[in-house]
Amino acid sequence: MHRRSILLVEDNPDDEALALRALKQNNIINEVIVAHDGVEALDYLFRRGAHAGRDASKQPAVILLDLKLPKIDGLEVLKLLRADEHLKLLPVVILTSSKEEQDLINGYRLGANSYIRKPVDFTKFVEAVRQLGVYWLVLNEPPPGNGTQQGKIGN
Amino acid sequence: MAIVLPAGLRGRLVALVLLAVVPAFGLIVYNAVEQRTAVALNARNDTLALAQLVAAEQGRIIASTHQQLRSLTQLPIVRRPAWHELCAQTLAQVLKQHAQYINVGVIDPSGDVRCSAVPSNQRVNLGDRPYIRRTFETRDFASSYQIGRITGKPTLSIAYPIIDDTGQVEGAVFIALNLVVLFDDLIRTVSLPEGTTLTILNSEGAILARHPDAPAWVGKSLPETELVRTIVAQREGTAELAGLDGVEKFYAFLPLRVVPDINAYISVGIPREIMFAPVNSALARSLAWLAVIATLAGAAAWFGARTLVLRPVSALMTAVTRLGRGDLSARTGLAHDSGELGQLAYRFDEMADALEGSQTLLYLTEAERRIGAARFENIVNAAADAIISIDAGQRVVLFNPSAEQIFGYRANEVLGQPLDLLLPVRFCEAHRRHVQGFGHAPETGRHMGEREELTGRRKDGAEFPVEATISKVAADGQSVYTAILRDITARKRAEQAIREKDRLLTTVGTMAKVGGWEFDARTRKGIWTEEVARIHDMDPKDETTVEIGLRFFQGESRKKIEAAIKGAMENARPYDLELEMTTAKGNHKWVRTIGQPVKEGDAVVKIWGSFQDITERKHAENQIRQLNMDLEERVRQRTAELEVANKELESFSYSVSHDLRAPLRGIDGFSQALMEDYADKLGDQGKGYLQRVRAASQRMAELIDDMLKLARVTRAPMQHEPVDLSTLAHSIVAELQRTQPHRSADVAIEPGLNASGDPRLLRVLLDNLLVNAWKFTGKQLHPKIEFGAHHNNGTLVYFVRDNGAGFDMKYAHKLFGAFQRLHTIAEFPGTGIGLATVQRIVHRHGGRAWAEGTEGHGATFFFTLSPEPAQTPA
Repeated sequence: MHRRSILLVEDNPDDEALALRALKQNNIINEVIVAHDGVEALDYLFRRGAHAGRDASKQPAVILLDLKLPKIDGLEVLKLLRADEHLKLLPVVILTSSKEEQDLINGYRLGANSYIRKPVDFTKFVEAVRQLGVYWLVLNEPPPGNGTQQGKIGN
Repeated sequence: MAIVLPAGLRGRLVALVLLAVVPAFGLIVYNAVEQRTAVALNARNDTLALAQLVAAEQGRIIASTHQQLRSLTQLPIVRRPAWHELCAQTLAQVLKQHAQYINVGVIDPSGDVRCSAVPSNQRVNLGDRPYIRRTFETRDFASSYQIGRITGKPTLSIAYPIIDDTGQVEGAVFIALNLVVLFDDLIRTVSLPEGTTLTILNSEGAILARHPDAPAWVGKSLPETELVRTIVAQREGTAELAGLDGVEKFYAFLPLRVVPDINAYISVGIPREIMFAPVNSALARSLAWLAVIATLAGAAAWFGARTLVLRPVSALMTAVTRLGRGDLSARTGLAHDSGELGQLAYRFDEMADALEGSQTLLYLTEAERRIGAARFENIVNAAADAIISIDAGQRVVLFNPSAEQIFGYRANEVLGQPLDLLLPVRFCEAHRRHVQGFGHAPETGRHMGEREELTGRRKDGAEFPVEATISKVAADGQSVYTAILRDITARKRAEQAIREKDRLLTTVGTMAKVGGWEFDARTRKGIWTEEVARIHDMDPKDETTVEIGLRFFQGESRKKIEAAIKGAMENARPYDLELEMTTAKGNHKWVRTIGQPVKEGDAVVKIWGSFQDITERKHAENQIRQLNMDLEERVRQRTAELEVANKELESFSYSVSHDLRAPLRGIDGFSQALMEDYADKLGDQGKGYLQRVRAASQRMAELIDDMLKLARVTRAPMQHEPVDLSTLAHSIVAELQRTQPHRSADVAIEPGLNASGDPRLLRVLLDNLLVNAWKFTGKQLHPKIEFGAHHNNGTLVYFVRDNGAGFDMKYAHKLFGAFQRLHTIAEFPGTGIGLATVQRIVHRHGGRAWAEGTEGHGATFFFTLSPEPAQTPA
C-alpha cells in the first residue's frame, strides 16, 4: 500500500530533527520529504533540478511549510504554488515560529489551508503534530487528481 | 353760664338761622304727644270692641250647639243604652259634619260614657265634671271651658240631659267644641291688628285658649300675674299693662256668659308698639325734614355771608392795610351804593385819593435820581464778572455779588479793606505800584497786565488765575479804580487737558510709529504730523505736497500708491496699503498708509489718513514665515526618521518573533529527547535538571511573546471610535469565568461606561486590568472586583478595584514598568508586562494611569482616556 508523503520545508536542522521525532512518536510512518529552503521545495514540487523526472502522480498529502527560509521564503513558495495549475490545490499547513499578524494575514491571503505556531514546549509540539497527522493524513479528503492512496497511521 | 358765640361774622349768622328752627321742633314734639293720647284712647275702645265681638261669636256658637244637643237627645239610638254601638257610629257622623266639634258623646246618669264619637279604650266617667253635675241637677244646659278627658284638648264642653217619658233623667248628651278651631274661624272672619293676642282663661287663671301659639300657653295656670288678677277683680274693662308674654299691651276683657254661672273670661291684647307705630314714624319723618331744612338754611347763611358781607369787609380791610404800609394807590374797589358798607368804602376811597395826590409830586423829583442809581446797581449786581472798585488809597469801595462768589468774601467783609486782601502776599507790593503807575497814566481803561495772567486769592487762601480789565474814574477830585475780573480756572484747566492729550497723542504716535496726514485735493498741498515726517526722515517743518510724498516710493509700491490716490480723488475710494519706501536718508522701510477721502457735495476736497512704520512687523512676519518653513521641513525629516525607526522596530520584532524562539524549541525539544532516550543514564537528578532547562526555556518563550505584545501595542495604528467599556468588561469577565469555572468573584460593572478610542487596544487594556484583579483576588474568601468611573475636575476617571493581594504604595512607581513584578511567580504567575501594556495604551489615548493599594487589602487601578485640564494626581 502506498502511503502518501509529507513535504516538510524546514531550514533549521534542530527543528527538522524535532519534527521528525514528533512524527515518529506519533507513529506517522508516511514518507517525509525534507526541503531545506524555498528553492529546494519548489524544485521538488515542480520536479526540477535534483527532482527532475520525479513521478508526477506522487504529490505529498500535505506540505508543512516554514516561513523564514533561505533564498526563497515560505510565503513566496506558497504564492508560486497557488499560481500553478497543477499544484494550487495541494494542502499547505504553515508551521512556523511566529504568529505575527502580518504573517497570519499574508499566509491565509496567499491560500494557506492552516496556520500552526510551533510551541516551544516539545510535549505540546508532539501533540500538535499528532493532531496534524490525524487531520491531514486521515480525516481530510485530498483534492482529486493528486495520487490515489489515502495515508495511514499505524505501525 | 354764658353762651359762647362764634367770633366770626359768618358763624354768628349761621347760629341765628339755626335758632329760628327751635320753635318748629317744639311744635312737632307737642303734636306727636297729642296724637299718642288720641291713639291710646282709640286703642282702648278698639280692644273692648274686639273682646265683645269675640264674646258674641262664642255666644252664637254656643246657641247653635244648644240646638244640636236638643235634637240629639230626641234620637232613639241615643236614648237606648243597648244601641250604644250604633250610637257611637251616629255620633261619629255628627262629628264629621262639624269641624268645630272635637267630640260628641252620651253619658249614663252615673257619669259613665255610654258612647262617644271619639272611641275610648277604657271606661271614662265624667260624673265629676261640674257642667255634667249641673246639667243633671238643673235638667238644663250646662257648659264649661276645660281640657277634654278623652281628647286631651282645650274645649268648651256643653251638656244637655236626656229625660224619659216619666220625667226621669236617664243620661245626658255632651258636645266638646275645639277652642283652637273656634279661634281659627274667628280670626279668619275678623281682621286683627298685628301682634294681637286672644286669651280665654278661667277664674283660677288657667289658660283655656290662646291665639297665637296655642300649644305653648294652653293648660298653663297663671293666677298670680297682674293681668289675671286684674281680670278676676274687675271682670269687665280695659287695662294697659305687660301681658303674659311680657309685651306691653292695651287689654280689654269681659266674662263669657254661657250658662247661668260664669267660669271664663275673654281677654284681647294689642301691643302698644303696634298702636303707636304710625305716630312714631310720623314724628321721625317730621324731625328728619326739620334737620334737612336747618342744614340747608345754615349752609345758605354760610355761603351767603361770604358774598354779601365778608367780601366787602375783607376788601375794606385789605385797602386799609395797604394804605397803612404806605401804598397810596390802595382803593377798596367796592360799589359806592347807599348801604352802610357802600358808604364806608366811598369815604375810604376819597381819603386815599387825597393822600395819593399829595405824595405824587414828592415822588417825581426823586424818581430820576433813583432810576440812574438802580440801573447802575442792576448792572453791577447782574454782571457775571467780578466788579471791584478801589479808591485812591486802594481800599475796596465796591464788591459785587459775582466778586463775592469768586473770592468767597461777603461784601461787608471786604468793603473798606485794603485790596491786598484779594491778592497773594508775594504780588501785593508789585500790584500796588502798578495801580499807582496806572493812576498817573492818561488812559482811562485798558487790560490790566497786558494779557499777563494775574493771580487772585480767595478767602480760603486758594490762588486762582484771573483775567482783568481796569478803568479809572475821577469823582469829587478822587480817583476810583474799577477792575472787572474773570476767574479763568476752568479755561486754564481745559487748556492744560488739551495740552496733555496732545502730548499723549504725540508720545503714542512715536511709540507706535504712527501719525496722521492730510492734503488738499485742489492745491495738492498737505500737512503731516511730526511722526509722519520722522518716518520719511524729513524735517517736520518742511512743506509737503502729494508729489513730494510720492517721491519716496518706487517700482511696484509707487504704482500702487498712485492708483490708490487716483481712486480716492476721482471716486472717493478709501485705501489701506502696505508699501515699501526709501526715506530721504535712503533707509528702506515698510509702511502702512490708510487714506480716507472727504467729500463736500460730490467733490472730494481732501484726503486724510494715517501713516505707520511697519518695518519691524514686516521683519517679524518674514522671520515667522521662515521659521514656519524650517519647522515644516524639520517635521518632514523627523517623520521620515520616525518611519524608518518604526520600520526597523517592526523588522526587529519580526526577527525576534521568528528567530529567538527557534533555539528555545531546540533546547526544550532535545532536553525532552534526552529525558526520553537516556532516562536510565540520567538518574532522577539529571532528569530534574533537564526539567528545569525546559521550564526556563518555556518561560523565556513567554517573556519573548509578552515583549512582542508590548511592542505591538506601541506600534499598532490607532483608531478612534466609540467603545462600550461596560459591555467589554462583561465579556472579559464572562471569559474568565468560563476558563476558570472553579473560581467565583463578586463582580460589579457600572453600566453605560463609554469611551472614544481604539477598540482593540481598549480591550487589551481592560483585559489586563480585569485579569490582574481576577488573579490577585484568587486567594480571597470573598473576592470582589469593581469596574466604574467618576468625574474628577471634568475628566472621566475609570477604575478597576479589587480586594485582593494589593501592594505596598512604596512600590507604586514600579508597578507600570515592563517586567516589573511585586510578587513571586510562585505566588502569582505572570511576566510583569500587563500593567506596562496598560500604561502604554493609556498614554496612546492621551490619558494617565495610576494605582492605589494597601498590601493585603486590595488595589485600585485608575486611568483616564483623554488629556486632563490640570494635572493633579488623585
